[in-house]
Amino acid sequence: MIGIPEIFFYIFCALIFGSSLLVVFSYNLLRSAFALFFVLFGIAGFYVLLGGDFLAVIQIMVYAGGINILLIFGTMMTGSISQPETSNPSFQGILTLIGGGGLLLILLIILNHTTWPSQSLIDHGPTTKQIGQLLLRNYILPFEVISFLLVAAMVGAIVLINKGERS
Amino acid sequence: MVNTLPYLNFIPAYVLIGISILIFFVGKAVPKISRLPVTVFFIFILCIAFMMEGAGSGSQVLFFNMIQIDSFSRLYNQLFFLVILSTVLMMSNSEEIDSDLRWENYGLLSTICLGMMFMVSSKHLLMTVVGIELVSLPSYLLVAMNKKNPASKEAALKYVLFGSFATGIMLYGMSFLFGLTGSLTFEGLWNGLSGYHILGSPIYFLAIFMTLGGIAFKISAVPFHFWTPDAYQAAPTPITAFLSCAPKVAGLALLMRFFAVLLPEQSEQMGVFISIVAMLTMTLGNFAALKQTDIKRLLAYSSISHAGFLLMGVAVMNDAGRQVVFFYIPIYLLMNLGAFMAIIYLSKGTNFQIDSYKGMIYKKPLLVVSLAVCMFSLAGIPPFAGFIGKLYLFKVVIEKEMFLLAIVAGINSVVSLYYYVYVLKVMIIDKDITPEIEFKGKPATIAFVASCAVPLVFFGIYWVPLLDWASKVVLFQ
Repeated sequence: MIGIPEIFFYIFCALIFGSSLLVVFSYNLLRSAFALFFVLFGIAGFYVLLGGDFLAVIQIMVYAGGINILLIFGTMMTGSISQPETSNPSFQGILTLIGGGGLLLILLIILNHTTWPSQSLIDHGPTTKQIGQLLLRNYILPFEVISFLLVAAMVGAIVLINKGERS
Repeated sequence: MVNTLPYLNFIPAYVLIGISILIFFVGKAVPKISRLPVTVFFIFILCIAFMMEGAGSGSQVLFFNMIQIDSFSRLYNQLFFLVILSTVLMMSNSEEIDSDLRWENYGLLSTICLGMMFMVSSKHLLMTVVGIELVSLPSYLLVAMNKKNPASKEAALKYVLFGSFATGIMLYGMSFLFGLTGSLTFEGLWNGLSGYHILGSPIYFLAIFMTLGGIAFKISAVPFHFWTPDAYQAAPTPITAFLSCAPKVAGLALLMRFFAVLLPEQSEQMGVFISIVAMLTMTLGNFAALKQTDIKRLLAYSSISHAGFLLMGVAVMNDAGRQVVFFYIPIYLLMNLGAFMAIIYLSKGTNFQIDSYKGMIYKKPLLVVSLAVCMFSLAGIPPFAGFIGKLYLFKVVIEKEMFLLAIVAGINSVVSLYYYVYVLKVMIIDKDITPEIEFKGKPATIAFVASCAVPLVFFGIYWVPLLDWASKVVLFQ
């Protein structure tokens, strides 16, 4: 018996799988970047199915909305994006194929043979409040420390760009 | 709500380093601040932090099972302050560092320091990831900021790609671990993995190996070592010296803390796995070092092989092994930093070919003799401290009856002798044919190398103080 969540699960799976193939195999970088939007959107759909309402919205806002738009802007600023020689499909040799295929095979076999301890989905209501409480209680230390990482990344980016301008 | 502010009393050094990050990053906005002696200020902060960690005592679990403060974390933090102090001294004596960027460089070094401190004290996978990233990201930047070497951009990009790949693998493995056990603390993980249907199943090994990948990247253990020679060669030499010591030590300490709460049957399996990685790492590092003509690449491969030797102490999985690792680390720091400082003095521009050092003994006898002490110590020749360190590593491995590991390590020690002695042969026996050149380095550089060499001789003869220091390294005390 297939319920409505299962139907949506397979729809999102097809969306992610199809668009990731487009991302990898498209000859036009801009089309790849647009296809990436649907991959990220499909992942947000998974979050919804798992009851993570806040995560789903964040996924759409940050990844699909923010980072992907940046990617598209970046792609538009590069020259000759529609030329095939600057495009992304590439064949890196037979060893890479064996390596990547082998990894995929190992993951498929192992993940298929594993019984995961699963919990049934309970309706917790909106998760925003719980996430906020956890961030300021149990996870306060990583939450605060990560800001140092962001400061360092920002300063580093500015210094590198500044140096490039001067030389 | 719980007030977590009193927790900060237990981690004064962490708070101090955090404040210093802010001072160095924000401080540059203040006008005319570049006239202040920023190097002296940074050294002062590091000394205060060193004393703060020395004054602490007792064992504390803080921030809802996020970090553990104990003598293990305190002593490793002290080592980190010493390494950064030496790096700052090297940076102020090197021409490869842009002196306009001192504030940013010290801010990035403080960030790395904070990351390493969280790595050695973390007991939660989330904190581990944050710590590793706090070390990785500024390291990429420090490699990229080399104004003299155009290859540094390429090397930094390689470093970033490998680093993010390793982090991705690690996070994937951690998600498996969380899926299997529902816990992210180290105790919760290993306890959750102890059920008989999980122990020894394929997913158990896959999840743990992937998680260890990110840590192996920091130690530059096989198979996550490919970035090492390129990044080390293109980075400014003081940064290379720093990267070859500090993040490795932090990675090893994190590995020991991760394995500290293993159940007996798990520790058996993990010991075998780590000893295989150790053997591969030292063998690959040594044999690749044999054919290097660039001294920085040679020292990069030598540092890979030393990571393999240090992993021997991790593989035995007991207190004796952890103390021997701590015993070897100060010796490793002295000989490695000394060798890199000598290179800073002897090199002209970006030329680090070993052939350009012919007949250096006749020009700078004291420097070359001190470098020879460091090199012999790296190779593990008897009267020097490196020999004692290796001796103790062999001792704990043989006591645990890991004979194959001991044999492979023995063969590797002999092989490594060849390339260390080759460098000295070029410097001491070969005749110089190039005309006289002027050395622009300061005399302080030679003093630094000599002050690395003297303790190496001293500890080679009388190592009891170091042994006493190492015996204080106990987890959860």
